[in-house]
Amino acid sequence: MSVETKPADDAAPGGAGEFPHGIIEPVRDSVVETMAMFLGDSPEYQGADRDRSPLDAVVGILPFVGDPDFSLHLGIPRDTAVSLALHFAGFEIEFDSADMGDVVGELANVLAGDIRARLDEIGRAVHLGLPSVVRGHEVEVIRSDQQASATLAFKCSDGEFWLDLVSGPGE
Amino acid sequence: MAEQLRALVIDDSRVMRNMVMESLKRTNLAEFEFLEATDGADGLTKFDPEATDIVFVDWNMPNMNGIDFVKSVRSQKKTDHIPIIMITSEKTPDKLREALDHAGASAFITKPFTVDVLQRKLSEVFQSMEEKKNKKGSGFFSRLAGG
Repeated sequence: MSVETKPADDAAPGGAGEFPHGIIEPVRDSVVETMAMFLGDSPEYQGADRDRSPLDAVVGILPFVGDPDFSLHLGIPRDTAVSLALHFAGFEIEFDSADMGDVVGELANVLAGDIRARLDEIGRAVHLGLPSVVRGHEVEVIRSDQQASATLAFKCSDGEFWLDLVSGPGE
Repeated sequence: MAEQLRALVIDDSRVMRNMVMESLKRTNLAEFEFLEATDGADGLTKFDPEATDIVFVDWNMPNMNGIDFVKSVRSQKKTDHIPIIMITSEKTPDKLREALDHAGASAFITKPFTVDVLQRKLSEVFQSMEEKKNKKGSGFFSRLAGG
């Protein structure tokens, strides 16, 4: 599957130092291949370029505990979220509905399951927590200076979305 | 499609329960009558060995997860004949073995899934259940599996 337009090591490092080596590429591949299963086409990896101005968005957050500790933040702008939800669930889901939280949490969970399997293949064992979801209007995600992080931006037929990977306290 | 199956669908996500139920209807393998539960503990209160024909259960759920639900059901008498399908985002081989071998699930389906995958997996499960039941002479699952 040939999809990405930029190498994964483009992912923007943020906060304190670099995100743990070897994690970003499996995450990128997981997003591309997992989402292609229900989108019908593969999202394009856009590197770390994304608009960081406040926007209406929903963010699915899922913790990984193990080697390494980190959390995955799947950020989806309003229009992308509505379109992605339709593709994923097979029926229309309004941005402001409770079901939107459900479907984004589930999306984060599906991605996390695949990421865990990919990390397992390279000898890095992690356990998954339960997903939580934040939705808001004019949301601005502020990265901590205390934790290493990386951003991966994607574009698909439904619009743009991003993943922030943030190191846990153990890193 | 004349057979009717009473299916217990357990997932903390209402969207996922709807997705599972809609997908099951589209398999045309049976006429499904659904009962929903929001986690493993809720599922246990709604599971009835005399009335439940098949169970679809998520893995990661609050209160009681899918694995503990399966273990609890299988610890009850006379539940071996009831297929329990885990629908999960888990893909790690060790975790899937845990579901099948340790807990006693009949099969697993990884998310995201298509109707075709669901149909194929269910046919396999029905066939397997029929082979077990043949010793007792029932053709119920065989008819569902197209046998």
